[in-house]
Amino acid sequence: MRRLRQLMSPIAILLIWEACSRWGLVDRLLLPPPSQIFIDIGQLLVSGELLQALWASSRRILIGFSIAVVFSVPIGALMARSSLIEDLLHPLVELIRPISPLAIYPLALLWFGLGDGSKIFLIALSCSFPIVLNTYAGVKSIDVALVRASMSLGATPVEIFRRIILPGSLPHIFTGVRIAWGIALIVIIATEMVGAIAGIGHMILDAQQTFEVARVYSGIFVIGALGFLTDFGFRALRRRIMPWYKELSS
Amino acid sequence: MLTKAPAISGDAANFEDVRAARAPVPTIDVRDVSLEYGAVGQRAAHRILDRISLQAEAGSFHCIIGPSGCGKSTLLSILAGYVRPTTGEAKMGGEPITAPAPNRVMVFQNPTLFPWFTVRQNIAFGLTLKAHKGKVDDVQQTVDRLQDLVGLAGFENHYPHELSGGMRQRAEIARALAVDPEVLLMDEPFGALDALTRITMQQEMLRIWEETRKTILFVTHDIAEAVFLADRVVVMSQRPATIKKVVTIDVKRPRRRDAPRIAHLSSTVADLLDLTI
Repeated sequence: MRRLRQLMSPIAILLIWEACSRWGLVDRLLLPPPSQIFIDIGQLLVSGELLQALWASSRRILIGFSIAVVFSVPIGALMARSSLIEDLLHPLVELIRPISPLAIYPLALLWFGLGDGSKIFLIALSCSFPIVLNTYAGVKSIDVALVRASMSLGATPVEIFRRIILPGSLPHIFTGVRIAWGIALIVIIATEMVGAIAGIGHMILDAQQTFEVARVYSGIFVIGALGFLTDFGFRALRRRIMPWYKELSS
Repeated sequence: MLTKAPAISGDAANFEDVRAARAPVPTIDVRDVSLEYGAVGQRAAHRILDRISLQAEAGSFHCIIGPSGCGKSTLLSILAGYVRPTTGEAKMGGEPITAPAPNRVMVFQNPTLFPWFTVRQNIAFGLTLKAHKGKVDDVQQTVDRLQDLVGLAGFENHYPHELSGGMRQRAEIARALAVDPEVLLMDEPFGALDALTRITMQQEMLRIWEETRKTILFVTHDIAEAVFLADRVVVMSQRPATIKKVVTIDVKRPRRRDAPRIAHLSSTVADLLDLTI
């Protein structure tokens, strides 16, 4: 029942949009009916263009995102555990973080060229901040009493890190990773609009320039669906690896 | 054991006599322990504990009671090895206490169960550490036994957040008992429980203690709890904390909470705390 209710508003919007477009209440050229967009998505699927674009974008995201996770989690954890590293890195992070990654993109193009390198670099950079800061917050948030209790039972520093600090900060790390993923989806599209020969962003810009307006919408719909489905996946993953998560969120 | 000579002495002068009279080394031996907070050079260092001396022999049950904030938890932290005294010495089994060790395990007021482990995994936690590997032949069997002992059978696969406060405290006690410590250091373990659960847990605590015969040092601010549980009630003063008196609870177990002697001892403790009941 809840599911059905939650579906109501998107479906209503699509129906109203369809009607407005078909009855000429809006310019059909600028706002083609959703049915036409879905047909276009179907054609893109059949021709293989969609999967090709999706693959090009996903590959860049996955590489950049993985680099960010691999480096950011240890950096965030070290920052939280060592005041020296905290003092060295925290101001740096806070200084660079507010800079829009897109402002750095022209530089990235100079450094890494027009190909995948510049996109991957930008995604890795922009994904790093939420992961570093959330890991840092997660490790800091661990109840000292839990650490003391484990020490009292005879845990070594390595055991404390592996069995208390890591699982204890996992919910925060997970949140950071989810935020980073959202940022990656935003950044990839923008970067693919400059100097890319494949990818969803490229597909959208290309369609706009050849005035295939429905295709522009197709690209936007696909991004929306991708974001929605992957976040759904993240939540399923969280339930799986953190069945105890409820307590920390309440 | 209640008829033995006093095991605790706040009096440094006859300390040696008491010690000489009894051959075995007391399990817990605190001598002239003082603790001050505040860096060197600071004008007024905070004195928390003032020359505390206290001994507890193996298998005894001591309750430490005092005004809130007086430093009774700090004393327990010293015994646990989290904090080093400024002067004086705390020993266990003749060895100075310098760091946390699994032969004396803390049980806290707010259960410190690990939220990411089930009850079963929490109880087994200590036994899966390097420090205790191979200590018991069968971890699962030991955990089963402890679950039964503390009355948690049937809840082994629950996560801590799915348990009531009393249940969590039972699991916490089982986790401490799993590593088979000599001493249980309990810091107001039932302080966060509702009144009815607390009474149940007090009875359970005595049952568990009678079955395991651990040496227990139990911090509380509840006079009735102290007098009901302990062999001896250690009454502490306001900060800087000194030991005002050690009251021996010479009442056989099982005790009735409304027995005249219990009431009398309760008012003795209350008087020492400058309270009237």
